[in-house]
Amino acid sequence: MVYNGVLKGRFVNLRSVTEDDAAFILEIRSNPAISKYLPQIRITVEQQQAWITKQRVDSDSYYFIITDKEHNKIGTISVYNIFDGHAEVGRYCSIGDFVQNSEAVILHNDFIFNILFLNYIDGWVYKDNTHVLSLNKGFGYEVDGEALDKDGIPYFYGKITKQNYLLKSLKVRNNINKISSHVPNVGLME
Amino acid sequence: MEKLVKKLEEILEIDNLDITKKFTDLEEWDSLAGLSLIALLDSDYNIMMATKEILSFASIEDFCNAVLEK
Repeated sequence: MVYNGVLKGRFVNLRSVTEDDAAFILEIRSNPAISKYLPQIRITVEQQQAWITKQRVDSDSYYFIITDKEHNKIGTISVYNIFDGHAEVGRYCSIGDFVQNSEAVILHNDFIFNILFLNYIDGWVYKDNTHVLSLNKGFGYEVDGEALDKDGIPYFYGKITKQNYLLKSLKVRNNINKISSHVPNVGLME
Repeated sequence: MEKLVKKLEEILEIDNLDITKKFTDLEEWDSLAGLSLIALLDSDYNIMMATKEILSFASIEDFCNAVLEK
């Protein structure tokens, strides 16, 4: 599905993905430093465009481009498998900095809880992806258990409830509000 | 330096921070710790530092020295 508005923050905006973003998505998804824990996609720009066209009419997902305030594309984030008051979050990759990345997650989770009115976000994280695990916990993620993927790699599964999110994200919001102005990264993707 | 290190320990939620390490060497380091650090620099030290610059220091001690010299 497509959200027609723009989710606006102080340092980043989120807008729905269009077919014109296909090349950017392939570029960022092929950067091993950024997309280490995401499935690699080996398709052409045209195939990616076709996938986006299909996604835009899906009934169970939203896919956003993260832009800085100068409208430069810096990442992607998505909510999918929306069903019965819950959904998964993924396709998250960004060349943004700490401030931009944190605000992008806040905007996206606010969208999920305050616009889609979902009750919780399902999530799984590879056990050795300590950075994302820690990041998710900072937004209220609680581990429910552990399992192995089809290749035998261990991962945690759990959820972020709206209540936990509102509680835990306060610290993140306060920190974002403390920042008077922003020094963007230059050339992080180099 | 002691005061700044204490604040870093609060952000990272660890005792006895080893300042010879880089931020990225610490298990407790993540984007949200980075955000807290940028907010601390801005609000308490009136310093604006990019993520890339924070990550460029060879050690936390070097970072602290740079902050205190600004």
